[in-house]
Amino acid sequence: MREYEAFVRFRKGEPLQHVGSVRAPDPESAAEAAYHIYLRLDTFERLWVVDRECITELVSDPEWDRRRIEETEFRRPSFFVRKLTAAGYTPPKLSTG
Amino acid sequence: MGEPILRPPAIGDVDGFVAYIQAGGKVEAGDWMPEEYKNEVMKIAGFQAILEVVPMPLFRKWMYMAPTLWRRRPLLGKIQDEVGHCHITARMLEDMGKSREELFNDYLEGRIHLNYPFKFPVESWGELPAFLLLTNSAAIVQFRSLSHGSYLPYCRVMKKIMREESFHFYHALQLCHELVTEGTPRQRAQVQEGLAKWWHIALYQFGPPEHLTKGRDWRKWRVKVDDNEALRQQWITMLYPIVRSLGVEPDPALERDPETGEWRYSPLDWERFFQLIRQRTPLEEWYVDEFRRTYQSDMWAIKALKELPLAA
Amino acid sequence: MKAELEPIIRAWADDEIFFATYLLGRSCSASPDLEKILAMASIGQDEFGHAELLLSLLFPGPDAQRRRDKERYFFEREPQDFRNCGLLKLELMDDWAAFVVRAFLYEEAESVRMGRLSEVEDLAGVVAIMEREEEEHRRYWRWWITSLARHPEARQRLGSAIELLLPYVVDTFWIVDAPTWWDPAILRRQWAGAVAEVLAPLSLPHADSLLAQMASEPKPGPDVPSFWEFVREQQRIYRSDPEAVTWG
Repeated sequence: MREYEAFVRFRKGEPLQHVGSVRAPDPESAAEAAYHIYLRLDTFERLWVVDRECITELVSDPEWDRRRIEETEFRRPSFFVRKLTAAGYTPPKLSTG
Repeated sequence: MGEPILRPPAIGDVDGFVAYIQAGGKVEAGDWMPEEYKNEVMKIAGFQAILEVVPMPLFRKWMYMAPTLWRRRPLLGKIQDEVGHCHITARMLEDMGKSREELFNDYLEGRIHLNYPFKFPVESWGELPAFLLLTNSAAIVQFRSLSHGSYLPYCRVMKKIMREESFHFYHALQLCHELVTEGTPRQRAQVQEGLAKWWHIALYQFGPPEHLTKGRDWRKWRVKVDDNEALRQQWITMLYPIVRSLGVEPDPALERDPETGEWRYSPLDWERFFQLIRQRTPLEEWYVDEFRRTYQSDMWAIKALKELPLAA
Repeated sequence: MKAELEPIIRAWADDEIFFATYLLGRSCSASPDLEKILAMASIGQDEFGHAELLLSLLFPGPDAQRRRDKERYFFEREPQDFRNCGLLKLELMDDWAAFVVRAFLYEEAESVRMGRLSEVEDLAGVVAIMEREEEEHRRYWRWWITSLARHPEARQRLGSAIELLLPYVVDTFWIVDAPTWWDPAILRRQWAGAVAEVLAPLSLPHADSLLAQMASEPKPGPDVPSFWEFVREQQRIYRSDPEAVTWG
């Protein structure tokens, strides 16, 4: 028996999301099991199952992350918006949608 | 949600596919699509991917010459973002069967060109943020439109790109503003002359109006959603107040029709545009040379890594 | 910060500024190896952050004044007054093998430097902040060296790179006016030891000469006129308008 992680795209256009894991003897059984367990109540566009052994993980350290975010403020729009506002200039809103 | 449920077309049914697209249907990775549709996606995405990475050497030059240490970081942050944009687009193209080597050869062999603004050099430090503000915002308008297209993987690429563009926009704007308001007369003039110069160039970035293009089938496939003039108009609406607030009147003929909201502006010379598009300026030759040089100097390492036996 | 540390920090800051500059410059390449470009950009930004951290030690004070001081420090010095080590006087933009070997050697030296300075009270905090990123950088360069060394053509290029860089390893850790407890000879032997751990199993051409040179007594390195020219290029626009209050 092997562990598989399951990912689903519920609606067209959305990214795949992790929904949980299943134990199964092989990939096809894993896909079927994930379907029965995680997709009973939802329509979906597609499902992926990935053997956990095939997954390489990087775990964040919250303290490290917090410091990293603080130190990269010069890469955030808010930093430059604040600079402009402090200098007496009202920056326009940018619609990116 | 009340959305109409569109039935995707059967495999091989090109007419059905077109009807599906016209009715607002979307295409996901792995769905069947006609060869022509696939080519349309790859053409648009390929052009954009090349644009994100080929001009890199320009930014190396400006980083070295930047008269401020502090500003190198956001500038290079923007550069890093652009390469990331090329990367996700190139990955999408690889998933569609177009290798990176094919994409880059398309550029080296002249099947893809850089877009119009990259024909012209940036000649001073003050001109750099003007160039960035105007050409970047033009790209934002174009990408925003593309994010509503029919090919969903590309829409996702565009949405990811858009999340980073707001930093690029405000950074360029703030640098323009700082030099204009706190700079010496010379620094201020560089920015303002830069804005005037790049305003005109950026207008061409959107491409010719409909009646002058060779009638590509973009309306059929809806990967591209808006026509060039519509996007040019959106951009003028967005940038005109900004450019004016920085003390520049870019075009004396610029005027908005009070009823239609449409901008009238000094006529653009599309005949000259079509001439120039076919030639390579010295700057473009430089880009090709740089690209070729780096390609060669990087390929041996890529090749070596590919040829390595798997580690024991 | 104690005054005796200044020469050490000045040399260190110059090292980091130029290493960052080469990395970021390398990241501005139009290359099919997009992953590499992104890695260069990421490592380069890290190193630039380290440089900023070190410059902040040299120029404490309120933000605006500190920023002006740092800028003046970089743009108003003569090229000969920069104190980066010889390894960091070469741009090496077009020679990936040399770029990799240089980066590997420099990052291993960084590790030795940080190890020594982590024992200094005023600097332990700064070192701890940098070490997390540096560990990842070292892993990256080691991966490149060990991977390329497994390929018959690539290892020859690594050998040529080592030969090219030989004259430039002589002044690593050598600092004018360093405090007496700063012992370049010991640090160089540690450096050679760390590098030997990675290089010895690879049997690369010229590696033995390199390690011998690295472990030897430090001395001033060769003059590098192209480096002076590189510095002047970077300072040109700044110096062209002495009236300017800001450059953005």
